[in-house]
Amino acid sequence: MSKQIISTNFDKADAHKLEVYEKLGGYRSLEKVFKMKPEEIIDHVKKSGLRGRGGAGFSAGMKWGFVPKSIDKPKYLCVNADEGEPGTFKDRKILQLDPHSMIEGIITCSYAVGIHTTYIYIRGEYTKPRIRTQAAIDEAYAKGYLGRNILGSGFDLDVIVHRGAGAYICGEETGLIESLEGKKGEPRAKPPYPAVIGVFGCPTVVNNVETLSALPFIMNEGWEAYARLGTEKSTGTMLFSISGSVERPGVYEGEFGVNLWDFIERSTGGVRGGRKLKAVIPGGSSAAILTAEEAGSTNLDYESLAAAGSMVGSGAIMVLGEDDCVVKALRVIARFYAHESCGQCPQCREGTYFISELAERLESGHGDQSDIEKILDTCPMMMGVTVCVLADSIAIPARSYIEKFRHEFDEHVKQKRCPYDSARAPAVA
Amino acid sequence: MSVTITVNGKEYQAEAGRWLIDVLNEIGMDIPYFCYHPGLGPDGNCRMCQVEYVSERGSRLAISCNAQVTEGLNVVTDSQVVKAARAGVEEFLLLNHPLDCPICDKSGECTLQDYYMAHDMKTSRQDFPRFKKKKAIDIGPTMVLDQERCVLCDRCVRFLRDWAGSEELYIAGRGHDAFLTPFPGKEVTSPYSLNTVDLCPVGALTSKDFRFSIPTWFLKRTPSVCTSCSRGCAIAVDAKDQTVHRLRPRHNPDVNGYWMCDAGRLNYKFVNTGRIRCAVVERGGERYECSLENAVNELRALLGIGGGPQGQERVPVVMLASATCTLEEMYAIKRLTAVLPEASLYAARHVPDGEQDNLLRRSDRHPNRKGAELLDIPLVDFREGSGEKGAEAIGQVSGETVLLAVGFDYGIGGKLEEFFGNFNKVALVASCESSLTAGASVLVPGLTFAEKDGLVVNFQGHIQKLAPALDNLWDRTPPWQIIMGLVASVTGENGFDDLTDLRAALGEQEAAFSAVDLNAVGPFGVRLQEQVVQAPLPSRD
Amino acid sequence: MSEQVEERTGEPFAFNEETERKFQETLGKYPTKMAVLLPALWLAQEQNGYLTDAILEYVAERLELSPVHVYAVVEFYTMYHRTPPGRYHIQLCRTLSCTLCRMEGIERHLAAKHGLHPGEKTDDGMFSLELVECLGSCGTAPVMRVNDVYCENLTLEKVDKIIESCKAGTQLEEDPMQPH
Repeated sequence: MSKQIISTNFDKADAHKLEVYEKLGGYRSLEKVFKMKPEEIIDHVKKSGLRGRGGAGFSAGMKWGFVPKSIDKPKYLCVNADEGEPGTFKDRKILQLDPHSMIEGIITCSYAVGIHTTYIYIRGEYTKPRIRTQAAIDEAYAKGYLGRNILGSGFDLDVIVHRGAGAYICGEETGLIESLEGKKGEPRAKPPYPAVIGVFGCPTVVNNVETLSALPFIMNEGWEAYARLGTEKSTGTMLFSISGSVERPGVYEGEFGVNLWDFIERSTGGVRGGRKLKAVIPGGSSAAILTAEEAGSTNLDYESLAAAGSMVGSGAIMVLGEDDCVVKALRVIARFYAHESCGQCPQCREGTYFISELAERLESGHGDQSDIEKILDTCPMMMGVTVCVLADSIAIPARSYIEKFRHEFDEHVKQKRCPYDSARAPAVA
Repeated sequence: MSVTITVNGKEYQAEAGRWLIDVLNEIGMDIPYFCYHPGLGPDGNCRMCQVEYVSERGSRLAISCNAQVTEGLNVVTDSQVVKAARAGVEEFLLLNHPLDCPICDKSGECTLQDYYMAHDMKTSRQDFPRFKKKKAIDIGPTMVLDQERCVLCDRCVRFLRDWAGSEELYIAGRGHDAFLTPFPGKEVTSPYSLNTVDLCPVGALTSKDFRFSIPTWFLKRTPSVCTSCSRGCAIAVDAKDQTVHRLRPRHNPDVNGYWMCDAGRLNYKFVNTGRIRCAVVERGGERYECSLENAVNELRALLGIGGGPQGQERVPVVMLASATCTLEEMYAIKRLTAVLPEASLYAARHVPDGEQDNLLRRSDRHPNRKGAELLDIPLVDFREGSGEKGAEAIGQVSGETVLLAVGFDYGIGGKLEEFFGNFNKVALVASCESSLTAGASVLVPGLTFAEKDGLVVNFQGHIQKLAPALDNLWDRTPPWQIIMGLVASVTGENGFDDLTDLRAALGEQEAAFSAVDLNAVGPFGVRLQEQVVQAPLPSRD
Repeated sequence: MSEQVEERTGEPFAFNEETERKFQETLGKYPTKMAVLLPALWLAQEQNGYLTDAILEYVAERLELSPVHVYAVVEFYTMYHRTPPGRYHIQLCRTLSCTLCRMEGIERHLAAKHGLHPGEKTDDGMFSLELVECLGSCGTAPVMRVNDVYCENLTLEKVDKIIESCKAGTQLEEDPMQPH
């Protein structure tokens, strides 16, 4: 079993309850936190190398450091619990099984940055995680971990749960901010970045749930202990949500720097039904696909995956077995992005829909070679040109699917049908 | 502060902090854009204005509308990357755009069309049925909405919300399903709604008034001034031959910014219909159409002008100039009053008050009331429902008193009619048939704002220039010239050859205008410095 | 002029006592009234089951927003119902992991055996089915959400049981969450 930092409490009964969480050593880091100066904490987190776990992988400590120190406006922390990247289901685990670890992290971050109000933006569908989180917050208030003068430190903090209403784009930090303000979740043009002008026109930190949950360990054990784990630039561990055609899908915590396929096989028991591996999508549906060979030769960390032309993203690993259809996978994710595009930028609004139509035609066997070419021509037109990266999130995978599995697309055109036709197979658990 | 920026390898000076897109366009880089508008500021959704930003770390494509000018900024606007980005936006916008161009009112002045020619020029890759949305939706008294044509630039939404203060349109839904809409069952009723038609880069919002009236490329555009209230918004008159087809606001930072109100915009119909085409004289109770020369002779007789100073009879005359007259017309009448032995001059307010707000609209609907004041012409009030009594202010008139009235085309009510009824002899210079024209002993056809050359002074003391937008098909003589002809008949001196002479004389003789060169009034007009500004131009961006 | 913007829908609406209490509580949590929009719409939907135009206008008035802003926001998000859903509203996930785990089989089964079709409501008003994008439960795919309850690791038999429980009025329970 690899090192566990964030998921240690997942298998402990009732760890979502304060009493149990405390017995497991919970909230212990706060004593240390309140003895430190805020800037010391930021420095501590910077040195740990902790990177944002929402997908972008930006240094958490640096993000906090961008917030102006002295400003006559309130500052806010928005916890991004709008988990929506296809393949990702780790934050749901934290919210439901170990919400106090996130709250402990929230207190640390808020104290370090000088924040007195935190909003936890939880996606609308997550009812039970939301109820669990609210209950945990209520308990924390009752026990003096939240509210006025926390643990006699003189520090005040309110934590408010905000429910989303069904929009993937609200997982983008400025989309989340717009949504929290009561608007459509349309990402903002940057600059200004949220650290300067965020929610309600005030400096704002947006952090993923998992990022915050890693803080108690970093504060308790020291940044050195965290930085020792993983690789030089990808320190620590990450929760990997592994799904698709594997024997035992689930959330597995892993140290960075291990072999990608080794980690998947060790954690999940390999491809379902003993079939052969076809491909791995390593970082959520926005990531470029890796062939079986690439998955076997790539390490699981930010640099290695970037070098392989893909990314760690939100740590959502999806596995395709030998009889899973890559064209269909493209059709499904293209439809997802077309459905979730906010519609501000023409490239995304029109491009996602166009690729979705083309992929559907190809998958159904009615497409021709020009459709494949059209997708390839469209992708670069959508990259690096929009307000947020949603357009890139379909352009990058779409291009990689075709480039790496061109023969499957060609077969669909040639046979005028899907050679896998898995749709006819019965549902299996 | 002026800083140095580099554009396509060449250095330029620019004001720090300004929007880059404005600076680039001013130096002739022709940056295309849909969602940006200088009157609304950046939004950043259309992605059309992307340029390459060059730094040590390499170059990066980003929009230029929300970037501010800073020292050392280095951009490239003509690279292949930039061209490809523009072509990309254009192609995506056209992917599902309906093929309405032959029947679209925007055709000919459509940004999407123009940019297609400038930046794309490719055959569509689209072979799926184009995405369907609602068409020809009736969204209120002024506009029709076509959701298929909409490029979702959000300009109309931002204008109504941020400038006009009435959130009545919004982009609802998301992705390719997103659509522009008012609230279900609600209409767009902003008094400034039609600015959104101008703002719309495509034919999604069209004006009910202008819809299907004429292809835009037939229109001749003449810069002028709106005469519907005392704001005097700068406008362009779009006309063909003898017909005005629409008025649109013209940018004037000192008066109206980029906008105008719907009431002013739609107040042009009287130019096209019900016009007085021919001079009329009354003889023995009968009315005869006649030449202008005959009418002017009749006018001379009426005013007792016998040709030369010695032939002048002492006829009591009341001169009444509408406060809608131009400065030159008022000045000419003032000159005439001065040379007649027994004449008195008044300027009449007669158009009923309109709506007023803190944006552009002024309740006073006389475009040149301020001009009358500055020329020291006493104002008399004939507005319906007003407290003042114009007739009383002028006082009793004897039976032989002649009324010479100039410029009464609209806004004519009972009080004015009653006053005109006090006179046995009325000479009227007017452009449009009205309840006053039938009673006139001499009727001389005048010019509307669309045919005149002349100056008006708005309530702030801002002088702007009306320009003739229509062909002078009937060869009408401008009223100022007719009146100055009468002056010349009295004095025996030559009249002014043209308006340049008249304006020069006006500037010399009228103290209020001594500081300005009335012959040098440019497109933005001139502000009289000594005038106290009553209300600043609203800026709500 | 051919088309009209949709007719305005709905009877006059007001928060009931309990909703009002929750609404007042929520107001205190945000520095602007606009920020209360999403929570207020949730409260309204909890009370009424779906959001009519009249409700949107009511919420707009309470929060000093324009009705069209509220309308645009409601149309942006997928979880606000503009028409009454079934008593059991089923959201079946159709994104990648669920597709890799054969969600189409579940979809066909719901149609063939239970007469449930995407975007439709059963005649008795009992069920409505919606195909949705990723529900964030990919490790237990295929998955569907019945009202507030996640039903995971679906098999045809399990789907049958869930439908029967709904018909019988039994409270659905989520499977206990596994550590992995």
